Amino acid sequence: MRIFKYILMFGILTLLQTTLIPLLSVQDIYPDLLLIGVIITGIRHGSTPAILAGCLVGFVQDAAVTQLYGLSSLAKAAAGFVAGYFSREKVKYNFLVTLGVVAATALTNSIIYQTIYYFNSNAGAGWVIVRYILPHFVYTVVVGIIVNAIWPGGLWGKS
Amino acid sequence: MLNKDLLERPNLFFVSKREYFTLIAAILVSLYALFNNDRPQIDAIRSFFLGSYAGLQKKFSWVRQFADLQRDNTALRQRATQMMLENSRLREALLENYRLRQMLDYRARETWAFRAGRVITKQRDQTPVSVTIDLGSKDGIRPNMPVVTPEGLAGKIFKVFPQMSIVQLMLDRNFNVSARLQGNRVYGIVSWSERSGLELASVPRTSKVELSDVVVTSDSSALFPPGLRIGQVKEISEEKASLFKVIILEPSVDFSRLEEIFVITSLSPRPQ
Repeated sequence: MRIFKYILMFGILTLLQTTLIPLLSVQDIYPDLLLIGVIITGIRHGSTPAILAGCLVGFVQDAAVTQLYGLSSLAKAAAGFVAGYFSREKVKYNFLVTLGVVAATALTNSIIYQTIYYFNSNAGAGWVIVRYILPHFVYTVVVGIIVNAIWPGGLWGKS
Repeated sequence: MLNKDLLERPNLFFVSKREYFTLIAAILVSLYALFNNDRPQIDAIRSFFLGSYAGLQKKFSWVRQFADLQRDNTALRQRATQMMLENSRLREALLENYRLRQMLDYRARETWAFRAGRVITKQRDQTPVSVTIDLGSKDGIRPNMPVVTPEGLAGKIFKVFPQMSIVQLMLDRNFNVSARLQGNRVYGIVSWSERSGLELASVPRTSKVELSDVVVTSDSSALFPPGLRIGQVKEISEEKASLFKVIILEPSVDFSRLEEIFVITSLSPRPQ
């Protein structure tokens, strides 16, 4: 039963990611709602479900790209591990902890994805950090905090 | 004591460390997909996920279209006015062209066959370099077919599935096209650079290039027909140690508003 709840959650997040989120773009930078879904899974159920969810969601997200199929799944699986590492079984909830978990997960995802994606390009490391890694990270953290405020039970749910 | 217990009971060891094993398995699966992008098995997985992803986005594409409606309306009115003015100029040119053709006894010209398609998904999550369209192998689409809009070249077909295809846009850094300046026939290679945008490379320093010069596809490309508009020269600079100019282009196509596209399915010359 729980698995259907999470399939529904990722369905809704995919829908929002592809319809509403493009309208919120700033200089081609978009927050990653599916990553927020992975964070919710990690915090509430630990690393294993979050890694599996991240890997699957990454494969779905990568389906429409022209290159590096599997990169999002790699980044999101690692992000799921980080989110699950700070699950509610191990860490007590407060706002700063939530902020820290979202930040660590978003940074892991962004660093792995952008580093591999731009590895062989003519873009310098500093430029990739300033132009892509940091903006993606900041925007996803901001949206994560907003979701924490409006999502039923917040990112942590009822323990 | 605990470690000894874990070693004696492998199942317990596996269960207690299951997140690490899951992570390793997920990394291995992702790396396998990453290093085998062109394998049929990976294509099958991609096709399965793309079908559900694109189906969902297609059903709810009205949300995005509704939000873009007012902006599109204003832009289209502006475009209609421009087209009207251009049309009157072209009529003059057509008449002149007709007279000259008759003088030269011109018999054949190249015509292309098109298929019109709609953009289903835009890959905008992290890198906006590709779109999915609702034309596939059932519609006669094959890899590497040029994709255009009324404004000019947009990209080429990258992967084909039965009912949809992935288009590699010019914004992809792996996309290169042989090009020339429309006015003085200076040749170069157009590619995307993350730092500066669309670039016309390999143009010798001695070539005469001016701002607003139009860049089109050249006649030396095996994939793209000649004369497709790519963009206009926006910036020209020269590096001291280089033999070539650095030319930045303004793309003709507005990639953020890509909704309808045309796939050129046949380039073969046809008698008029």
